Amino acid sequence: MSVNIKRYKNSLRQTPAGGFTGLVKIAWRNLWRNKRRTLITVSSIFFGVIFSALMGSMQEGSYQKMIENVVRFYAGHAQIQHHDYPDHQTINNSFVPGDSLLKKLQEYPELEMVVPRLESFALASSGNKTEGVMVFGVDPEKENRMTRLSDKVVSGNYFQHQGAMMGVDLADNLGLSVGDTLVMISQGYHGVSAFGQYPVVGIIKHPNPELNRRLVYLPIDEAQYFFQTFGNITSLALVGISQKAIDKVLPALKKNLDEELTLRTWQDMFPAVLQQIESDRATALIMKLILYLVIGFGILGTVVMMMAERRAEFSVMVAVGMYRYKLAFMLLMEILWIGLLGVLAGFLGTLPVISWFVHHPVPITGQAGEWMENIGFEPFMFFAWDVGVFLQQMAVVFVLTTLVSFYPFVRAFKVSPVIGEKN
Amino acid sequence: MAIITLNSISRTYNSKQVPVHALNCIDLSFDEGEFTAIVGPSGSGKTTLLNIVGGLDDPDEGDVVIDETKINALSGNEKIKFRLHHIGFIFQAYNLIPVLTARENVEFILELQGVPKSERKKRSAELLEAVGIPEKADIRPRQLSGGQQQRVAVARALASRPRFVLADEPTANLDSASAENLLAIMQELNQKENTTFIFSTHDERVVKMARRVVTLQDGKIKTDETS
Ligand SMILES: Nc1ncnc2c1ncn2[C@@H]1O[C@H](COP(=O)(O)OP(=O)(O)OP(=O)(O)O)[C@@H](O)[C@H]1O
Ligand SMILES: [Mg+2]
Repeated sequence: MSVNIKRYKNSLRQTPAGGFTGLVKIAWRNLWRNKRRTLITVSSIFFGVIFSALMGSMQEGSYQKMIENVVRFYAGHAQIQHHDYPDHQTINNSFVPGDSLLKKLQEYPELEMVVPRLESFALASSGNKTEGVMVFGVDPEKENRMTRLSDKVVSGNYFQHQGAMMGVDLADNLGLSVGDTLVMISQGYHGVSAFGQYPVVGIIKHPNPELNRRLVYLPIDEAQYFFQTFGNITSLALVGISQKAIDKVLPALKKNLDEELTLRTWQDMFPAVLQQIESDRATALIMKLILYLVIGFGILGTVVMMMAERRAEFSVMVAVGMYRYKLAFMLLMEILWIGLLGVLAGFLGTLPVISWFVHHPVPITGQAGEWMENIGFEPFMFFAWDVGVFLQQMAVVFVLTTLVSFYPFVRAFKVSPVIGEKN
Repeated sequence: MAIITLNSISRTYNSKQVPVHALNCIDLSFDEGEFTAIVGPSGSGKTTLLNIVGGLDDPDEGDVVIDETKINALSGNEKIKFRLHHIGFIFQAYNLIPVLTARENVEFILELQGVPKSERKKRSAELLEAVGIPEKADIRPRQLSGGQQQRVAVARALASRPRFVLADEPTANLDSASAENLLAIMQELNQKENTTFIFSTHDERVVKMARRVVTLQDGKIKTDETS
């Protein structure tokens, strides 16, 4: 009789959570049943995370470098220009950077630098030699702060308030060296004729050979005088403290501009750079997908094997009264434990590896390196320290293991309580 | 008083083209407290019968009534719950969860039932004592002998004080000394806990220990003798 009463009590005691903590424990112990297999699976995830994070970091590093080359050494994050300048890049579409505009720009702490420029064309001559040149009127001090132009001076000095600097090939072609006089003629503002002569104070070696043949730098007041634009400039380059910061203020900036002005981002001005980054991202994505597939199927392989080996065990569990969803939960836990271990180990392994590469960019040698140098890039593979990239890769690999765990999860619901019976 | 009643049970396996009549119109009942052996040549239907009684498999025809419950009419999850609370199982092999110790294996069932820890501990200690291996409580199955593993399985089968215990050739992998030993333990628990035992076996010495012997042949009951 007492037996019956106890039995009755038992049947009332079915708590839905019954055994879940126990199942987590069983799942954990199951991991270490076949240590070698677990370690192999964990390391495949580990290497997956490291490789994909390394790849991502390399990608982002090279993009950052590309953007930096465009932004820091040339265009800025954005430029304010005359409304008509993008379509007709002539000196007639220049503008006066009024005090109110400059003041407004100063109100944005996100802006690090505001650099004025006057760009146009001229004929440069010396003796009987003549070359078509690009004249860059720049603020010597601001320009140098932004682009470190003075680093590129190979002979003479970086200019202060007067004189001209020119590309090294242009100087050769015109037979000019430091101390000689450069003569330029051009058409100035609204058709006036422009004429000027300037002592050559510095010769510049620009990484871009085309620019080396064409570049003439003048202090901006000299250029304004030469082109008779008086106070007008063709562009006001804006450098933000970061891309993110500038992205935040651009819409407001744009809205507050005078009607005759327009704001162009570096992406507007150099769509090719953006396109190249995007196509590179697509290629890298395909490579990563292949990597993910390899890892995913690797894990799936071990999981399928594990499920086959443990069929009898699962049958007994269901036979003695474990709900299949609890079995599914247990198997899910096992796979997630593996995924978690792998991803965590991968993350811890990634940090030193990427940190090393960030501080030791991989040099690119041979023709590829020369080519990069010629087009103005440093011949290195750069790595970005971008925690977002690591986290993203960890997340992807973790999602991958979760996907793999669908297999045992689904199979668990089909386990037969009869040992050895196919389900 | 019958606690299990089988009403004209038939089970046919349709493997390949030839249908196998594993059980053919079986009528059988078991009373509370019985200690019954199911015997018969290989392929006679012993395992099939026990699977159907335990709700692991369904008959193609007929009903299995346990107390007042027609278990072949229960849904999958209801059957699992029924097994958890009312039936103890001992299989020929693979009984124990390899990563759990002997004690944890016994407590596994109770944990699934949501029995509080203190009570689980008490019950597992009591049962491991009863099957004669209290000193092996914290050892995993891999380190136990075959006989010791089966004793843990017996302890687990009894953990939740089930209505009855089904054992399909529990001694098949044991030497005869261990086999008799295990049976003696089962017998003792049959009396002490008043739990019904139904087990299948090939082993003549084990058969002798049963009070009732049901002999199957070709899916039919050949003899049914109570001593
Ligand atoms: N899953 C199955 N599929 C097809 N036929 C089966 C299946 N299980 C059992 N059988 C057949 O049903 C018959 C009865 O099998 P069962 O396993 O019940 O016999 P048994 O008495 O337990 O035999 P043994 O003593 O060898 O364990 C046999 O002919 C067997 O081949
Ligand atoms: Mg059998």
